[in-house]
Amino acid sequence: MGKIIYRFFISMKLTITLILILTILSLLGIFLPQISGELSNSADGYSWWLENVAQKKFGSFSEVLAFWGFFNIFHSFWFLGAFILLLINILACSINRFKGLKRRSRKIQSRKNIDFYKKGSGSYETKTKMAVENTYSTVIKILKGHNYNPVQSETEGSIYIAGDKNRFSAFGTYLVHLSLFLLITGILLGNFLGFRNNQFIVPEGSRAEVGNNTGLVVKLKSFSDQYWEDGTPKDYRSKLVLYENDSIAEEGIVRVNHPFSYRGIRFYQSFYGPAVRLKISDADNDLLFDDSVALSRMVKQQREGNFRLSAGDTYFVNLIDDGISNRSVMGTENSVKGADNTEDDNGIIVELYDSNFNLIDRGGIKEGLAGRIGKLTFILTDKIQYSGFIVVKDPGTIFIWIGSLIFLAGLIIVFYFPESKVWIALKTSHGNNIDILVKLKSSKKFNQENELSSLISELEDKLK
Amino acid sequence: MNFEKFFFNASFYGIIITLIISLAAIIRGRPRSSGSNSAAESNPVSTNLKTTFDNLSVLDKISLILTLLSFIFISISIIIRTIKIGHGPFTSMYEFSIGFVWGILLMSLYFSWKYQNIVLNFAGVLTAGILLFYANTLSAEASNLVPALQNSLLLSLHVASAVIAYGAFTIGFIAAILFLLQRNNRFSVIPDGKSLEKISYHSVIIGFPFMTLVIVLGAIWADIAWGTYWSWDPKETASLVTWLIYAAYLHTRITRGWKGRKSALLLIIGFIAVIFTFFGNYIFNGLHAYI
Repeated sequence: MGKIIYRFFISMKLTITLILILTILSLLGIFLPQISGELSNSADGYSWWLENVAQKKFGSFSEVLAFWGFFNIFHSFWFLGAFILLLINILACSINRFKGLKRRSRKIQSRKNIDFYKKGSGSYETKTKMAVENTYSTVIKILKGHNYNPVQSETEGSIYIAGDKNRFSAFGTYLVHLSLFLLITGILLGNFLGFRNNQFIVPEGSRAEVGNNTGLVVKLKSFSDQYWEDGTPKDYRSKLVLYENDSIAEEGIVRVNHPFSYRGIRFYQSFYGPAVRLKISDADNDLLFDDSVALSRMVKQQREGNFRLSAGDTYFVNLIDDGISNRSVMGTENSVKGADNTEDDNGIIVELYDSNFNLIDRGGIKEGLAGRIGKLTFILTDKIQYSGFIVVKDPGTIFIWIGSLIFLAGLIIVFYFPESKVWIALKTSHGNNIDILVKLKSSKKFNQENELSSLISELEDKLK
Repeated sequence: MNFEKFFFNASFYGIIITLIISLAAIIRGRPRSSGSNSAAESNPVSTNLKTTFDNLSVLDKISLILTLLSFIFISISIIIRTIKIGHGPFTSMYEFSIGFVWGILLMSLYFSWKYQNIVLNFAGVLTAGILLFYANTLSAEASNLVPALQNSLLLSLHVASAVIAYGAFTIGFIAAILFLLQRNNRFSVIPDGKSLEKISYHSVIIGFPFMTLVIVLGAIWADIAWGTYWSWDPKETASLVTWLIYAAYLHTRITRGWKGRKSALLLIIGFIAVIFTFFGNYIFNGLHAYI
């Protein structure tokens, strides 16, 4: 039974089949809509996506597709299963091939059996009238010129030479295959020991906790954006201050393609949008709220932001900016060419809800002016911007880069430095002739013919 | 005067003339030339440019010189555009198509030199010509770079690797098609089946490492721009599919001894994947949908 399982896992048919399965699944992943990581991690998010994206495309069939994991195919049982089997297959094949590769990589020995030189491919014969010492030294020079390390032995009237090059190159495939395990290590480390937040939003002048047990707080000192003449974003950058244990740990600027890094945690400039600075007082003029709020949600072409307000009673406040500012850009994926500022772009709409989400009151407030909504007084102090970051900690990244480098190195070794072995016999024959018998073997048949042809042409040229 | 357009047009007309002269050479007919040293075994021999040139007929020589000139002209056009726009010209389908043409012409010249066959060059130049014609239908206006694309070094390296890989795979595709046409070695102007298999393999051992480099450089850039080396973006995934197909080709050839028709079909499927990846921007959204 063990032998059957072993033979199954060292089979090249299995390799090809698994590559085919992964290819087909990847193609399905391209053509079928795939749910994002954030939505798939929450039950509500997943249901929302199924109802609003999948069902609209596939109707009731979407349930079947969802059940079999086709909407999250790269994390599905099929994909992960095929990938794990491929890794086991690679490991088994590597173990299976090791003895053979070790044997192949031993230092070459000269061969005296004349049949060896005459049978099979890679053989060649010629003659020369040069003296045997000159022939020998010319052959050695040619071999060294082709980067072979020659060894020789002699018997009566004959010299047997052998040379090899790149004899360890067969292990290049080991580098290629085993680097995949480094990649897997990197992926696993990132998944289990790292974290990622794609929606880390900080309004200008405000602070936000990074969370994930980092103990870090980010303050956005300022945000600036620039545009090309046609309205597309040219540059946007954030000035950050990083606090650790209430003291400044680091300050810096974050731009796209220029992340900010602190102790393995990286901040990437991802998107930005409008925000407001707001003050809220109660009927006794006691200040209940004085902070910035990001209008980071896009709902029916309107920018919205909401927060919970505790003031004796609990309220939920929803802010709506119904004029699309030309500063509203959702980052790199959905860059929007800005519309012109609307005339009414200096106010917002406030919706006030009670703790059960019943609407208490609704009204508009203009910048710099106070407005009464329910029993509360709202002052829109300033219209500012928020900056949206991706915050990542991924301790596995280094393994990804090392694995990739080793993979490329392995490919270069296998393809461009193939192993080659040559045996040459010099036998004195009738008259003053020396018979030259050549046998060349290479790990790549493609290379064998090129190499033999190149050696032959030089031998012919120099031994005339 | 718009020198960029001038050299673009010069390359295009060079390709047209090359095709006419190559066709004349092919119709005129000549014995199969794939560097055979012996009747028993054909070898790709040329490591010497002079030898290659000496072995060719007059029409073949003119054809190769014109191919080289077309390549030089399109290179100059790319250089002028780079200077004009201040970054590697790889951010629109127009620019990427020109890059692809450059890659095909480069590989066409290399393989024609190595394997001394004008039919191979003709087919390569024809493919480049079709692509250049397609590029001419696109808007040549240089678009402003959004912040995510403002990484000139990685942009240039990533896309340059892609055009070299795609150029090599194009030659492999052509060799596969010729192989399927060349049953029983019936056409003397086309390399024999054995040589075509060598050309196919040779093209993949150039293209596959470069395709790997495309994916690795893309991962590095994605990590710098978006904090993730892989996000299953459709174009990323399509590149991976292309890579997997060529990985399958290498495995079946090296370890299963797959040759002939089966290998040729795999190369054709691989090239379809290349085209699918190339035109993917029109089909799917995603992080690559700038162009």
